[in-house]
Amino acid sequence: MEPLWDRKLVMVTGKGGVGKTTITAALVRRAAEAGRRVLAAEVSNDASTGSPLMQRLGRSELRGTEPVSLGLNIDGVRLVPSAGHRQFLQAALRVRVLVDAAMRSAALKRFLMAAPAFPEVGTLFQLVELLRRDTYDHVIIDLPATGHALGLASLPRTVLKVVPGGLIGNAIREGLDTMTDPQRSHAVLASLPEAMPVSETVELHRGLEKLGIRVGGLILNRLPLDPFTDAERDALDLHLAQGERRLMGSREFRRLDRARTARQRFLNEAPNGTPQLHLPEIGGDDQAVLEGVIRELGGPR
Amino acid sequence: MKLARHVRERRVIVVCGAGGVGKTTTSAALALAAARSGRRALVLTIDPARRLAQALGIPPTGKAPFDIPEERLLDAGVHLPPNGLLSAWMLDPRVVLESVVDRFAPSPEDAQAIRETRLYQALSEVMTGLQEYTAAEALYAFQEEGRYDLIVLDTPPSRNALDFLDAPRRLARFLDERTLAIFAPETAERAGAMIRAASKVVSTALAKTFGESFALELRQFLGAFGKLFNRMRVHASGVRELLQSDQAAFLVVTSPDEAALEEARYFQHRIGELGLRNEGFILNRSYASQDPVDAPKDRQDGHQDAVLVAALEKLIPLALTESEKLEAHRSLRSALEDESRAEGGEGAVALPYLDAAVESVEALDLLSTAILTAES
Repeated sequence: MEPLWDRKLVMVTGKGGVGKTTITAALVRRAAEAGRRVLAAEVSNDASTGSPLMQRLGRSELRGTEPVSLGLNIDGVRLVPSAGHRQFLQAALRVRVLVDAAMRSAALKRFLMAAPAFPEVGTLFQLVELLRRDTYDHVIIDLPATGHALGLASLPRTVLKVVPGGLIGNAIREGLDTMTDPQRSHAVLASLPEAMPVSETVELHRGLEKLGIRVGGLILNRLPLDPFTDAERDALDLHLAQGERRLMGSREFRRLDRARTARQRFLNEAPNGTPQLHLPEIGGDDQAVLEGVIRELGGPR
Repeated sequence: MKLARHVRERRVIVVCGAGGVGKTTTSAALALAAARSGRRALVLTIDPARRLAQALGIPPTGKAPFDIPEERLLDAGVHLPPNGLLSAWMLDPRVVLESVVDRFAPSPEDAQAIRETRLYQALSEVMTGLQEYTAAEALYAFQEEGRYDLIVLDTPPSRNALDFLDAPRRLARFLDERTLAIFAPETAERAGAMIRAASKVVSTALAKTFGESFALELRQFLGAFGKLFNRMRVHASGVRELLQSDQAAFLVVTSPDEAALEEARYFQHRIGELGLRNEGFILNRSYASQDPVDAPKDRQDGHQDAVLVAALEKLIPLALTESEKLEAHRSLRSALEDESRAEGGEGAVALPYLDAAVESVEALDLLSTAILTAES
């Protein structure tokens, strides 16, 4: 299996709470340890709120919209709509005074943030601009939760329909070309061994491929350790069905059952040929979990 | 917190929370609890919760709310009183947007003109953002229609979920005549020097960034859409008034999961920021509500079956984990209780843990019973 981080653009996504951010941070660390120059990027609507990805990479806060060094081979950046808006105005107007005037215009600001899809266009523009710089071997990006990720991925085509040309149109075409080139980009989808997350991941996989985005890897995170043999499981099942009072531990036992079923579905229903990585449940705080996931990801090749 | 009171008295309940905490199921259970109390209840969801829809027999692409057939409920042993009704709709932003245009355009020709612009067509394709606009609109429309005693709104599982409260206002601000004047040079000519100067900067920026043709189309679109604006503004303030009144209640659903809790606290904060109040937290998927239990050790004695004895032995560490979680979840519930009270809310309620299929009428009924009896 090729390393999951081995593309110019790696987009990590999945349902909220599946450990997407930890997985992004682990891929960033692995790639950097392999001697690659990596940019860790996080999509957020508002630069003033805390940044979970940067926290895991050792930086409690990250302000501004330019990449900041987070350690050897690792830079971090937040993709914020207003940064992209400013950049495209800058590219269009060239004159700084005009850009400032335009960004001060309450009307324009309202328009850019209130019109549906325009915040995302800003994010995309900033991403394209960072990819153009060619400073990094890898841009690894923590995308928002599932529904939003599909919206973001389908956005370029929608926008191109209305804005075929101009600065925005061209930048978006460029972004779309990169995102849909399997040699340069792929998506990594994170999931949990529970019914709903598995269904959503399978759907997201199909959705992304329909949009021409290659899925480079599927990660089933937090798989609990199951100590029971089939015979023991059957015996316990029978026993639980008979007891009048609930048995302490039965809920955890059922959780193992659900995880086993979900894992099987993940193996059966996800498209063949997409590499799968199953990670065990790791205890401890954020940092301990991150170190554990890095170990599980295996050594760089 | 007495959930039963909200279910029996409010006209609107807005349910917020992270994805995967059982928000849609809880919303449906709240509506069912209202129906069981003899009210006509509608659950409005943006989440395409397909298995729940299947369980309730809702057709996948409905253009209007669907009344859950009485037989469906009776099959699961749920009897509604004579006036009770459970209705559900998976909100389709496209349908709502279309009805907004139809209802608000000054004439059918105007509606047609709006629908024909490429921008409108793109707008109805871009789902992000649109959901929030349409949720508020749908809520208001159903409220006005007066067919339901209670509408439960299940918000989308994103941090932006509450933008729908702000959306009409943002849209209204954006479609404000002065803003439009800046985009439309014809009106700007008649305006003051400030607006003329601003308009010039904006048109240069738009033409250069988007290309001349788009800038022109944008102006046409805004011109056409602007006509709808005044009536939409009335709606926007109507929604806010309704949600600020004591006819509406906000509830935040969470699971014991750290990520979900963080979202729940964010929603609590955001609701306050919008000048509203979170009535309380609903703690789902937790072990906090608990019946009497045996320990695996108690059951090992007297069993001849060596396999079962071995299995029970392996269950001991799981039982330990479970009882630790149980304690942790109980303290979590009381912590949420305190956090809610500190912000003027009513507390926190833990709903029962559902082992089996959550997406069934039976499970909904179980939850609705808990909702009608739960007290913190």
